[in-house]
Amino acid sequence: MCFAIPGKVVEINGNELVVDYGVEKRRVQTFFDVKEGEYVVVSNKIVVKKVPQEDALEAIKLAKEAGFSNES
Amino acid sequence: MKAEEYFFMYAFPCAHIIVERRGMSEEEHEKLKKDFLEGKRLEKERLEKIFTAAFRRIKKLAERMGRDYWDFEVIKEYWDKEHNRLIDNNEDGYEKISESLKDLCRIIVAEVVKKIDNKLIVRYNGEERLVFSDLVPEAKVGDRVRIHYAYAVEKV
Repeated sequence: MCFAIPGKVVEINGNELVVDYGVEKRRVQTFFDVKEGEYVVVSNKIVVKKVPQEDALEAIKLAKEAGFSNES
Repeated sequence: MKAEEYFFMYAFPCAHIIVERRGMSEEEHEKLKKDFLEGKRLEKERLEKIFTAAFRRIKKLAERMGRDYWDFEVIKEYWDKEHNRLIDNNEDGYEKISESLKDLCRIIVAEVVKKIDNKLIVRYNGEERLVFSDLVPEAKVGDRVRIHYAYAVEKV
């Protein structure tokens, strides 16, 4: 089964964001308005969609349990 | 279109997630994408090895349909109906995933509201998503496209 793992926005500079995945932080671009502390799904270093915190935390927990992460 | 091409078009958006979980190398991912866009032959064995979950489900569906699992009608039925049905019915692991993330897994029809280079902002059910238009380079504002994860897959 394939599902995306969200990350937390921890820094914003214009449309450049730093997204925290726990194991690492990644620099990404966004075309949506996002606020610090919000969760996003990213693909190819661009924000695809914002995700409610509750859903994001659940997905992160599930990913940890299943033993996969967004490390690359 | 061949069954392999139709399968890959809809499965490709998931490939990047498989890369991130180290189920496939970045190199292999790029090569797959390049081969597909250049119209090169995609080997069935190669696809079955990468997209194991999809083929587990397609084989079950083929049995119910009484056809070979590489039959075009089976592959089409899977992406047209069966894939979303499994997600909507919370089957095969989807019961654990929250609604907003399941949404990324579904094949959804969305309207293009903005085009930025090879990216599209699309809208569906009052939500906005960014998708890449590499597979549908001709897509323009106002078009309706079928999307899967971070890609526009086909024009409606």
